[in-house]
Amino acid sequence: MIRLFVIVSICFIYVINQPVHAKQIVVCNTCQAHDLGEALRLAHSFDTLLLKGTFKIDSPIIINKPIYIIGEQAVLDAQNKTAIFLIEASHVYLSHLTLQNTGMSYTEDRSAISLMNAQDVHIYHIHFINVYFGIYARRSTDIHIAFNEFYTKSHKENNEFNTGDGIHLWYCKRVDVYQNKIQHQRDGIYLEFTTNSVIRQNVSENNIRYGMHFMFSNHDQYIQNTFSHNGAGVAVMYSSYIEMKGNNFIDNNGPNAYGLLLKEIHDSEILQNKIAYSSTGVFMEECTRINLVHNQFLSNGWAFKLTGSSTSNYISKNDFMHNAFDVALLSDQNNQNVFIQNYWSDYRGYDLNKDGIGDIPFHPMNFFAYVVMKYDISVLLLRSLLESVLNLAESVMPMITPVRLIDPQPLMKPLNK
Amino acid sequence: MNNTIVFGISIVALLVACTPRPEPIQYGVDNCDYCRMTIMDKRFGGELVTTKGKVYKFDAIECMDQFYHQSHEKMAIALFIDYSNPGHFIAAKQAYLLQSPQIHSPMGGEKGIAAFSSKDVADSMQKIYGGEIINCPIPIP
Repeated sequence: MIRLFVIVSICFIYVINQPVHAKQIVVCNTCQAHDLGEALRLAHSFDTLLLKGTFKIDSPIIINKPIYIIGEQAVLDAQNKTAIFLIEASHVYLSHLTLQNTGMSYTEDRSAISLMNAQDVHIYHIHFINVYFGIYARRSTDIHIAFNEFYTKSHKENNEFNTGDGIHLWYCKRVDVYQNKIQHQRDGIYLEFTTNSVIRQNVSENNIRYGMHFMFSNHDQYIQNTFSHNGAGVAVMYSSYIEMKGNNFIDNNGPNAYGLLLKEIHDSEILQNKIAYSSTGVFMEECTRINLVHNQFLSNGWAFKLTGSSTSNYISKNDFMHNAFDVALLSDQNNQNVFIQNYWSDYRGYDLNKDGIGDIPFHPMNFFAYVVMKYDISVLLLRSLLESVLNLAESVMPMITPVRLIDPQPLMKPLNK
Repeated sequence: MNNTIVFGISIVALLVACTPRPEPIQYGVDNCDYCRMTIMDKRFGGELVTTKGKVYKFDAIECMDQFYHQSHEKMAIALFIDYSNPGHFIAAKQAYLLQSPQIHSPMGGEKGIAAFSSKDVADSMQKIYGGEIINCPIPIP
């Protein structure tokens, strides 16, 4: 043990006594180094560029060596005509910068920071103001994106939305997206073909399309994020082995808006999320082997919709509270989707043996939900006498609603208060 | 007399209603009828109209292709969005399609497909983006 300690100490002393090659270059309008591109060309690998003041950018700044670029109230203004940073090297560190006014372009996916075949890149504390894409990473690995904020004002012009995605990852691996605040972009965070990544504690709100969007991205986690007021909620599509835990999906309203839209997802976990105040809470299409456990569905229009092509999903220990409709199955066959031990605020049963589990099963899909699915306009009759009569008739003699869609052990008390 | 007029008007209305007619895509509002994504990118997309006049909208040619080959309906009109003239339709039959790894269509994956109205534009884009000019996957009118 002592020997190990001595060896470690010697190594440590050796490391800290190494001559320091990397130097710091201050770049500002009145400094010796006043042109950012020039300073970058002259800098050696692992040097630090300290930027001060406002820089007008006329063409993209290409980073092709390991470097630290740190701002002190530095603003890089692209004047609506160009992308800003293009990172083509590994070991790059960017922090404390304001990047603004990239303008938009249809021919390029213009972005404030784009990465191409880069590794070990750190992007911290960047403010993005009126950018088309914020960060666009292609074929890069080990990226850390944290504490960034977006202040883009998107506006609708001639039936077009002139904004791109906040953070777009394409064919990336091991990306850590942590505590960013993204708003008013097209998709807040978009993962395409991106694996082994973690998206945690971000806030993504008021985006035009999705707060977050997954396509063909396997083995990812997203944890404790908040997605609210997004045009169409969050979409997770064509992916497997996704863990979604402790997120808030709130206030996603509209005919095509979903708190969480799942399409062709397999073998994934949806745990401890709060899905509230949305037109449709969770929508599942062609999903298999998903565990939906310990979630809270609160005051949604449709809490949980699933298609007949969704099979072998396990729905347990969730609270379904005060939703207009709890479950809607868009098929008359329930394909091995198990509902067990959930709390349903509409449950009217009793618990004689006091084990906390209702003694009569609960049918989470009522007849009126079926009617509304067929004829949208009949939602006008919600909470009417006719609705009660129809539901009662169907519960006495089930003919239309899927008989096997049933919670045999409904809980008497909600799990979350 | 009155009845005849009402009858006549109804017949005309019915005929008009059933004529297959394309509809503009409302970006940010309409959903793709295949993948359910909200249609946002004005450079990509397409539309199918059935012989009965039902309109299907798509965010990418890839989706439209899949949908067409899984559908049992008879299509009357097929349109693609012109990549070089975003937001505008061109007839699928007259389009030149370029498939390239440099084109990121919403559903393209490795190689996205873009549609162009003329061969010259498609060729010049091929010089920039690489990839190949492909045949239209949708054999329609």
